[in-house]
Amino acid sequence: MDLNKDLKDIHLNINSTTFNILYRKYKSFVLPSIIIISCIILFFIAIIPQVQAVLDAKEKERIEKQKLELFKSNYNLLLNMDIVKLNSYFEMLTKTLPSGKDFAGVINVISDKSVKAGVSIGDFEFTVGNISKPQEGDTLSPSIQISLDVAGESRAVLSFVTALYKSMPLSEITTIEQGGDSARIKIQFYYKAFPQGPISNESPISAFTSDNLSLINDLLSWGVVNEAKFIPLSPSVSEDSSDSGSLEASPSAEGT
Amino acid sequence: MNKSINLVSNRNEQVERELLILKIVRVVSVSLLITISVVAISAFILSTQISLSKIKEEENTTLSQISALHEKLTTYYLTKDRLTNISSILTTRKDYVKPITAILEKVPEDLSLEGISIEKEVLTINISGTSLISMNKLIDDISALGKQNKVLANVKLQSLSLDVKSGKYFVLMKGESL
Repeated sequence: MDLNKDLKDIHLNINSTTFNILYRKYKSFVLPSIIIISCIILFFIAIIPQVQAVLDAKEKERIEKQKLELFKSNYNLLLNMDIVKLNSYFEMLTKTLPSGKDFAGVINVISDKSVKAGVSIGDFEFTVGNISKPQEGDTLSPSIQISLDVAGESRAVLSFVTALYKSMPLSEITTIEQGGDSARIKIQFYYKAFPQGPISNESPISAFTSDNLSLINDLLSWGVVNEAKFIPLSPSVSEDSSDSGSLEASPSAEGT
Repeated sequence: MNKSINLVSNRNEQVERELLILKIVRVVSVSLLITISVVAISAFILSTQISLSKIKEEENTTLSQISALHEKLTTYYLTKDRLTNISSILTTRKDYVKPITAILEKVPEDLSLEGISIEKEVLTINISGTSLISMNKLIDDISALGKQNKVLANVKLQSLSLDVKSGKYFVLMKGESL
């Protein structure tokens, strides 16, 4: 007989006997234990991801609802906007801050304000810059500069300068040299290119703020300079080979 | 001898302890089972109630309605852009009219403004007249303007001269425009 095999059988018999005893003793614990273990496994494998998915879906729903609210409010704002008023604001604001170098607008306003202030315009010179360059849309406030010789008494010159400050296109006086009955004034006329790229339907829209409306009303009070039917200046263009070009002009109908 | 005397205890503490543990295990297992089931069912019900597709559909409808107003939208954006830029220029641009007006208001009638210049915020004013009293008053008034620090600062009297031929006094003053 094989001793090893016998020993093994005895060992197995003892094990199965022990198991049977233990099973019989703790039989009632088996089902609850299996349930607890299954529940714990389920909790980690199924419940946590499921709850996480629900929370994610809720968050997505909240974001989408916010977007929908925004779109609806945009739509309602747009729908209720008076297109005629909006166009008139836009037109006026574009005259105040043109999208490009508005030489005609500049000459118009100088002509108009000089007539109203009772001063006459002598020689003037535009600093045009590189006209082959694309418009300086990104620069904070690009401008064209004009140097003007103005003839008139000091108070009239001041009145002309004051009028320019409240006129379109938007300007800034950088230098005034007044002596006797004439003055040399350097003025910057601002322009700004429109923003590039498509306008998204999804961007938020807000109604004009009280500051916006007050600015619009201020600008409206300046009055729009109508296109001059006659310009008392007849500029003759002299091309410059350098980066900055110049338009030399002499008044053809001084004092008109 | 009393046969009813039994020295072996009827209570088996080990068995009682096991019964208590069994009871606890059963309660825990049932509670866990109920909790897991409730959470799973609730999560399922909640997930069925969230309908993103419906919201997306509504969004697309609203967006297409906005697209129909694209021209208005563009005008609105460009108007807003102009307003922002104009506002920023207006807040940064230098207004020389205020200091000049303030100075001219102080010039007495018997004095005349010979010249005025402004460059890089430095304002120079040249005034002439025959009355030294008026000239003195003007200097005082403009100095007072400088002290107020509202339109002018660092006001300096550059020169006070007399042209014997014309009998006129000339005052040259400088100040920084604020």
